[in-house]
Amino acid sequence: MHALKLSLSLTAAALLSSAVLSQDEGDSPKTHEATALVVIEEAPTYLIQANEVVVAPGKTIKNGQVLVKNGMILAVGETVTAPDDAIVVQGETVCAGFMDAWSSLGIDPASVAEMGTGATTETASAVDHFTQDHFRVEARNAGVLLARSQVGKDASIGGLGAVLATSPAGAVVLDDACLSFTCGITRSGRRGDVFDRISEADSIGSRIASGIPYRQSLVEYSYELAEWDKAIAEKEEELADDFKKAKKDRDKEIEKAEEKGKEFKEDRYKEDKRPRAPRLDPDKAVFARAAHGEIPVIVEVHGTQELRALLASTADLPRLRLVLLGATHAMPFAEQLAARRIPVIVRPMAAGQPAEPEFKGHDLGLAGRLEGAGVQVLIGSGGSVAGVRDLPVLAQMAVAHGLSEKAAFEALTIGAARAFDIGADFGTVEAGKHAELIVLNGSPLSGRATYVFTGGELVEL
Amino acid sequence: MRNTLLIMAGALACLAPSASAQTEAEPYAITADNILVDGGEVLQDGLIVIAGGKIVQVGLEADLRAGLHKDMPVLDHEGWLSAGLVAANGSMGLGSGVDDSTSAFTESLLVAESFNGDHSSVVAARKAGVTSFGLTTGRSNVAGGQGSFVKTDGAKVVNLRTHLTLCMGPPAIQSRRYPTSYSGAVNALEKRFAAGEGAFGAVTAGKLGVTIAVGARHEIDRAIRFCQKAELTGTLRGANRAGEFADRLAEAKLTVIMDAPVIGSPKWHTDSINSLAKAGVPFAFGLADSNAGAGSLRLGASLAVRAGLDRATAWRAITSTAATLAGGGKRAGRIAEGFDADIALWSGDPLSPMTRLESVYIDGALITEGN
Repeated sequence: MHALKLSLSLTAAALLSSAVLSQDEGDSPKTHEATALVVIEEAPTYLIQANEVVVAPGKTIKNGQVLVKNGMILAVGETVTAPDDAIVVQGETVCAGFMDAWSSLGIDPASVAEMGTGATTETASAVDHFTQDHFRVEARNAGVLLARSQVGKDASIGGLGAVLATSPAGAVVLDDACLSFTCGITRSGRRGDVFDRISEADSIGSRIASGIPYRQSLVEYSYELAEWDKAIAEKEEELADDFKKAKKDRDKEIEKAEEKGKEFKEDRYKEDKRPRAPRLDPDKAVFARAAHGEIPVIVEVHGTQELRALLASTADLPRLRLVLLGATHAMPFAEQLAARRIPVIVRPMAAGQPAEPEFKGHDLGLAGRLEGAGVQVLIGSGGSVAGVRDLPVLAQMAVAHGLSEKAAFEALTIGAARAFDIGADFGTVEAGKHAELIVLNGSPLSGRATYVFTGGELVEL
Repeated sequence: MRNTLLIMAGALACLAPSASAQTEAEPYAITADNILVDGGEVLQDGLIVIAGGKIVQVGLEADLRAGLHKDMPVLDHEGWLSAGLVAANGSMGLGSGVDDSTSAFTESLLVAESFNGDHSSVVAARKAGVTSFGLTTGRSNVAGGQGSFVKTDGAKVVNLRTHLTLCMGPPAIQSRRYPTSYSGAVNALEKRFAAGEGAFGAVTAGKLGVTIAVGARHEIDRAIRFCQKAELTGTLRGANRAGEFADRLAEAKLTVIMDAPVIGSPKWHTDSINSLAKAGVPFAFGLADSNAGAGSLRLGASLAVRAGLDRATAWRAITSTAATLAGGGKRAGRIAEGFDADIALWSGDPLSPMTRLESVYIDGALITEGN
């Protein structure tokens, strides 16, 4: 009976551990891949002919062709084989669509302004295809086909940002593009003193770091559970073999105990002590993903002191993929940023534009100087939905003040795509990638879009 | 070449007249890859000659260079040359002295008397390529005072009395003083215009312009009706939505000063600009009613072009048309013989956001390198 009871209890434990393991799988790293855009099936085949096919920054095909079908680039070259019924589209230049690396496009305004967001808040759940849709259309018509959008724009932790498409159908390309923080910015008209700001920076590093022991505890637990399962199975097998002997021995033990007037105490096998699962902590699960470099971490930070503190508090997280947003006073740390390969998303701002105090001292030359110091520069509109359509103008302004045209174009295309883990599918004009393309009447930065390809559709402008 | 330019510029700085006085200075010439003469006309490989603070010759380098005096300094600029930018209105240099709100009618006040040409806002303006602007009062009074046309190199006033500023909406209309309503303001103004004294008399006699500060649609509508009834031709300022009234403005022969578009400006703003252009209503961009800095003028013109405005009209909105509406149209805003040598040198097309301002000249004197 003892053996049977034990067997039953072991079996029950095994079943329970399986259930627990299933629950644990929710904490394990989730798939971080771009979702296919909504594409109109059986769309026509398009053959784009352009004086310049800008395949990638610094790589151009003169008098080239691009074959597009069902939202995918099938072929690129000086000449490509196209079906007879392919619709020919001509232009001066064709290039990858632009991506706004700092945006709140496609999100309802209340969610953008939400201050109560946390690590697990998902921008993708706040996508709104209807409110302010005209901004999406204006952005698309200006060639901005992707946007990294964020809820909780000014919150301490904004949560998980998303990459959205500005295609007519609208789509979430990546629903966990990054984990967002802010540090030392103005909130509700108030900006903390320097000690508050440094404290915020320290807190970011320690929060992310807290994900490491949490993930470790989960991994250890899963190993222990696996060991325990194995031991249970072995014991069951052993018991099955020795069932009768064990039963006899147990009966004898019970008899002896009863003769002595004592209570029989069941031997508790080591295997019975099932490992305890760590307390579920979804926030730390996200921090663990960030600490292990599975998703990039974006921090809006401007001031010198908080930048210094942030870089120090994250220095011992070698796998962390940190991206700075704004970084008005980043130049003193340029060498460190370049060495640690930390990109900076700048928001070029015209002189005299209204700006929060953290932007004081910002100048249009920041992007150029960062590039000169070897720091990767990305460009964003700064979270104003109305400004997304002017993203190419912002890039031009940065070029006027020292950023190279190549770096500016890269910032708007493959640079942004790679920073947010969609570079395999977007950002260049190459076969096998999504056909999110702009056809222009001039150069990529200064020309005007005449057509855009997005979501499998051709939109004539 | 750039070193040559700097050496030449240094030499010219010694030769050229000082920023504060228009003196007889040694003539000199500037060549440029492109000279933006006025809006649509671009002179490739052009040359201008400057003497006494004025532009005395404009033409092709090939035609003019050989005829220059052998000792005349020549600045060879690789890039574009244009007229300095003109803000149709602005309150740079006034600090807190924009309005005297002790009375709703301060029509005799001359705003130029409060002008501080060394104020940081004026310095910032010339660093953005703005060489002159229409100095104006605020909107706190029904009749705020008389504006001037000024240069951004010190306290240089070109035209002391250019326009009378009126405002018949908030904050000029307020409950604490007369008039307390729009109808009260209209009534008071009609009486003053009928009496024909002082500034009001100068307006009706055509010796002084009139500018009406507006904002919302109903204010534009009221201003048009007021001007038609009072038989005034003038300018509506702050009229960003004026395009919705383009036909009526054209019929009333009124002109418009509006804010330059900025990054993220709503589409209705650029639609309004396009409507005015289509209806042939003269308009220009100003700074008086905007929070944006002087740099917004050129950026605004670029954004307007991106939104469909033709280049010539966009350029004139920040140069010749702006100068005309501001009361300095015979002096500034054009690269033409007889005009003041207010010049900007650019790295490229000034209507491109990728272009950088390289230097600014006012009355032929090098004033500043750009931002």
